Amino acid sequence: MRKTIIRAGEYHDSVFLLSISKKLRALPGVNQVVAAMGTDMNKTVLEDTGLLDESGRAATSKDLILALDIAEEDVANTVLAELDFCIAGGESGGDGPKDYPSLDMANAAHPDSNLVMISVPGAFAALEAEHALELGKHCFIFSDNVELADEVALKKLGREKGLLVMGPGCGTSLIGGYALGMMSAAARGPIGIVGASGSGIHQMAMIIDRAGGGISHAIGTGGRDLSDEVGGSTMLAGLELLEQDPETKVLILVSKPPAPATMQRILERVRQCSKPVIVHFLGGDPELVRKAGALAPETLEHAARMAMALVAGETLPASPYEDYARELDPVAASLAKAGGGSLRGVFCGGTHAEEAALVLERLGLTVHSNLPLPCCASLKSPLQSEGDCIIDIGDEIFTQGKPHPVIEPSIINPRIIQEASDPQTGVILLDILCGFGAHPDPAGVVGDSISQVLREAKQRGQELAVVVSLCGVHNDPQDVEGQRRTLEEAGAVVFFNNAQAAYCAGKTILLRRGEKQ
Amino acid sequence: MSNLLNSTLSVINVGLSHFADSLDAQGIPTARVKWSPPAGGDPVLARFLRSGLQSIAQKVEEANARAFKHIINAEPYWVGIKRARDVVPGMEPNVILHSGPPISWDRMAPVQQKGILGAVQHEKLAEDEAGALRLVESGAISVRSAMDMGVAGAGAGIVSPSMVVNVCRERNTGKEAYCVPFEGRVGLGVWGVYNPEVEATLHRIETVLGPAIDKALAASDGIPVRNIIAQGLQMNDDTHTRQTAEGYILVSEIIPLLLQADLSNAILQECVDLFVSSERWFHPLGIASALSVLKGIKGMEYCTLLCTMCGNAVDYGIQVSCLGDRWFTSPSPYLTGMYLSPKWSQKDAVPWMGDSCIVEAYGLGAFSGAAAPAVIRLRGGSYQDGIQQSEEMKQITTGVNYNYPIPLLGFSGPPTGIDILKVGMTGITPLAHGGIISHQGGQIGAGVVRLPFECFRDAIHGVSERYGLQA
Repeated sequence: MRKTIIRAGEYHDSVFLLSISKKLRALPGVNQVVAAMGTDMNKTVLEDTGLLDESGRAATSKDLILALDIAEEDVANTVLAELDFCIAGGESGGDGPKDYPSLDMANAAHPDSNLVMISVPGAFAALEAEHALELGKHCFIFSDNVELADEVALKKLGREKGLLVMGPGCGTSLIGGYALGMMSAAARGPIGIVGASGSGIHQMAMIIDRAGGGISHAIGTGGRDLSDEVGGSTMLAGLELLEQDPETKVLILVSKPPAPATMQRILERVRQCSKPVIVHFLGGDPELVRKAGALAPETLEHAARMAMALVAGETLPASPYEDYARELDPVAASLAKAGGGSLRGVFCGGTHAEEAALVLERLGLTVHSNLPLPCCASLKSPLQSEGDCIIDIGDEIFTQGKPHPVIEPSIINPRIIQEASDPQTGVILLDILCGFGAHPDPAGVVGDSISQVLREAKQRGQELAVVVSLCGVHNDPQDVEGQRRTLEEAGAVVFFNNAQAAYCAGKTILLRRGEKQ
Repeated sequence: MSNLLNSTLSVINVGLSHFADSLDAQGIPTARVKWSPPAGGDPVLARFLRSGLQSIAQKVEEANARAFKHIINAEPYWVGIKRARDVVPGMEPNVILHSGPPISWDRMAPVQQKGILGAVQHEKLAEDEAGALRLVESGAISVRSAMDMGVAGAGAGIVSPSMVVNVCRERNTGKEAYCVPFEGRVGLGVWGVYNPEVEATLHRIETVLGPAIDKALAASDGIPVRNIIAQGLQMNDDTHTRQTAEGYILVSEIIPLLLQADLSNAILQECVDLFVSSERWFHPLGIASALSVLKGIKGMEYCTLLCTMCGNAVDYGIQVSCLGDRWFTSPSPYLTGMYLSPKWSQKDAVPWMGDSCIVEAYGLGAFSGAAAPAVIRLRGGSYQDGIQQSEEMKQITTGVNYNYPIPLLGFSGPPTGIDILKVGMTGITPLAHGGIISHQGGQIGAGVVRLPFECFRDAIHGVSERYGLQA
């Protein structure tokens, strides 16, 4: 129905009325509204729209015309109420600008900012980082696919300016108790970490936290820092910072083994360090580390326990494998009721995957993997598992154009189902990461798939076990105990310890095959 | 430099908002950059802009500083209303102008074609539209870009030799620019509409009112436009979509001159009616003034500031100071904004058409968004959005014009002097306020347009070629 309301002598400017008309048009039951002063031009508009009636025609340029085409009479009251609300000022204007179109503008408004976090496509990340360094900011560069030459140049610029360049390809840091990237909010304490591996840092910080210790700072370097081209620039800078840091009593370095020349450089610097240093180069030669006067742990957990023992002045822990055998062999036995089967590991954390592969290798398994580890047999395709297998699902082939699996773990589910549907599969080994920057409920995302595959395997008569390496601390935004319960209720065996999870899974397979370690 | 480990974290997040959210969740102060790829997403160009220009960087900086100073110090005056043929160099009897970069007849938007055919009839070169079309197609009519002739054509930008133009002269250089007076709601020049009513209006302005006003102006030094703009920007005008205050100030400036000009009462009355009928009278003066200022920076070696920006509803074109008259074009973009009647939408509108956005190149219009909350409100924005808009444009300009203090910018001036290198670096292209014009001609709305990046990219390549750099 059409209806015209004239409010004689009420003036509003045309811009205001145009914007009001748009709002009124969006109300339910409104087909058309024009709110306009009764000028000749506006009357023409109303005439064109078929909304000009006699009363509108009689209105003058001093009168407000509200011309309505509405579903029913009552709607007019809603429109009038909204009109009056808008006239009275409407909703107050927002809280001011929240997003800045450029780094310069953000910096102009926040000159005291000291860190720029960069997660833009790699081709542009170097440009933004260079700009940030020129502005005198430290950088955390999550982006990967940054040219190697750019990384070298950025780190050189950072060194010259006394600025820390974490990354490119840095997923994890913990500065003064605050998590950057994807990281658990581990408690503060005297242990400092520098690492080229996100999940390695994460794992150690979790174990230290859960054992009652704490982290001063954890500095991520990015995966390529220890190439000879980059020369360990950020690791050396981090080592320097932690050596000077009064809160830090013990240092841990963690990464894959550095390139030869860089290995020498790092270990030379370690030798000169005035604080005790634990160096965990996964898969590297521990003798080189020991010769540099540092401690060489066997697993991430072992490194964490060594650091805590040093802080407490206690005896250093021996090889963890004796503990694993004592504690985990019974668990493995309970999972190994039937014979046969392969181990299939699907990992979000690259270092978790590497550690798992190293643990399995030590147990005597031949591990196929898409990891670039010398101990692993390569796969024809990362998309298809073979034999005993560890898949790093953070690999580019899985993540292209998608968020990292720690941020969006649903990417794991199809792979879990794929592995379970292979009658060869006896144990599925997973890692789940909590913390800031991680998915708010990773166990919820993966739990359904776990219970589904276990249920279906049971129906088929297939003996399938799921073992999970869960990484998280009590201060994390996810309720980690709740995460554990969700996974256990889904039927998984859960460890807050990656090496233990791998050991248990590997041992289960061995027992099933009736092999001896 | 502060040691990060001893400092309280305060972060700027460039990229995934996911990370900013997690910093927020930990209570770390975090400023968010809504990142868009620099250089239009072309990493090679981005790198060139950051590091490939070093050999000319200082010369560019000096030239741009000089050009910027010229713009700030410029003093445009409205000095007359004259027949185009009498003041526009090269305005031969068969020349008809249109807005935007040059375009061939077959590619031209129908609304502009219609305007040109109307102008041929207005010049009495043809009896009717068919006759006018024959003349145009035979090549007897020379159809040209107004900007190429030193004229700014608002809307369709139709100018023919006997039409009158406002003459604005920049005092420091003596450079003049021209723009047809506002003809009301139905006009040939702006809207590409030609009919007996338009013909009568044009005839009256050309033969009676124009000469009368010109006489009044001639007896004075002219009217200083900069002063009017300076006041208008403090009174909610952006000098493009809105010039309500400027229009009234203009009335108070022109009436005393008219009164002294020894005009008959009837003519005087008619002149006053003309000015009072629409505050939009000021618009062409702002446009011509901006062009008279920017003509002063055209052809400056190493200067990378824009000196021309305009569209013809098909192409959008820019010119860069150091590259002189060379055009760089992209497909003309559509405005977004508010339509005057609910029956209209973008399908009724032509893409950007007109030279009026030359005021943006002078720091007005969208660049002065902070001055005009009423204009921002037209698009449903708040006054903060206006400030944000000016702040964004600051990223691509050389400086702020302190002659035009804007209260909501803390009495700092509008961002002025659009540097194509900054456009390239940031990927932020200029915004322009403006009228939305229908396919039939006539204004159907008002809004804002974001210029396309490609013409800027090409212009940057033009600069690098000119100075022998590898882009």
